[in-house]
Amino acid sequence: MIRRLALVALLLALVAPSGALAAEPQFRMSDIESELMCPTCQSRLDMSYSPAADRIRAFIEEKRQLGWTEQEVKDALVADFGPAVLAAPPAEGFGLVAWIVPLLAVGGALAILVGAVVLWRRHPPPPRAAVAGAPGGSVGDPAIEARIDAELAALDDAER
Amino acid sequence: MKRVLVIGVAVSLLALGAILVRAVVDASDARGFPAQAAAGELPQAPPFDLETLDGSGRVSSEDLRGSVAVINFWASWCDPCKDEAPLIEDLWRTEGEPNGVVFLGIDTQDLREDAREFAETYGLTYPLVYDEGGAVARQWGVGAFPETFVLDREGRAVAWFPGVVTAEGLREAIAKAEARG
Repeated sequence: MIRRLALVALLLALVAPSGALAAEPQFRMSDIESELMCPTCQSRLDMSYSPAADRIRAFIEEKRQLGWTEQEVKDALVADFGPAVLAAPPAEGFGLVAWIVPLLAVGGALAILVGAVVLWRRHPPPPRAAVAGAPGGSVGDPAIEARIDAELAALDDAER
Repeated sequence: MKRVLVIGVAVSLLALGAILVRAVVDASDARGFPAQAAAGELPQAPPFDLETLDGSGRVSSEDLRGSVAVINFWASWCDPCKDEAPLIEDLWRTEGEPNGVVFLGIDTQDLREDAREFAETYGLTYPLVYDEGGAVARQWGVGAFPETFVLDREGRAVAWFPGVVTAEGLREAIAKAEARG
């Protein structure tokens, strides 16, 4: 009798943890809430407090406690509310545009940047010192330089 | 190099433009239908083809042709819908079904299992369909729940009720739709 009871206790001890593990939440509410949209308020679920958002939160919590994965919950919600319930559009169909356009924009910006650098390197701007009238530089015309020197010398003499 | 750059920028701008145009068209169409119905312009109801809530078949807008129809948009989480459901069920049983007026409940932006539970709780016997993803509600410009439309025999909206309907208001709208022949 005692041996049988011990066997039952041993079996229970072995089964109980695995049963508990099966229903252990696979994700945190805060993780999934930021990745879903409230279908009636058009804002993220974690920022929505409408009755529909409350019901979706309750549904997620219910399934979370049953051990569903984050993807399983998302799939169930998409089945009922459509892909618009996902904060990030799926990378297929029209949703693909939302992924491609930013990539194209970044690519375009990079291309413009690279193009500008290449052009700048091919045709560098003239050195600053060669620009007429630049402080500390040369004007390039000896006659003008001589005249400037003469006028500066005259100015010095006048000051003395 | 320059050509690739120009093409890349042009493609990006075109794609961006397409997105914006679609968003604007969707937004402008969205509330157009109810507003036209309220203004008495008798707009044609957008077509639909939806699965019944119990999954036993489909109902399309073509099925409604030739009958006056009351189309009620609802969701199980919507509190006013809970007040309205018994009223609509009662009107369907006492005046709709005996006189050949079609009543159709469109459950939208809702969890299917919740909607089935709702229908059972309130004993709804008129046809119910499920608007998966809420596309039909968007096409009809439904912005809040419940919303009800009354269509004449040719599918034109003679009345729009934002919020809970009254029996009197619905009766008047049905009479108006029937009077249109």
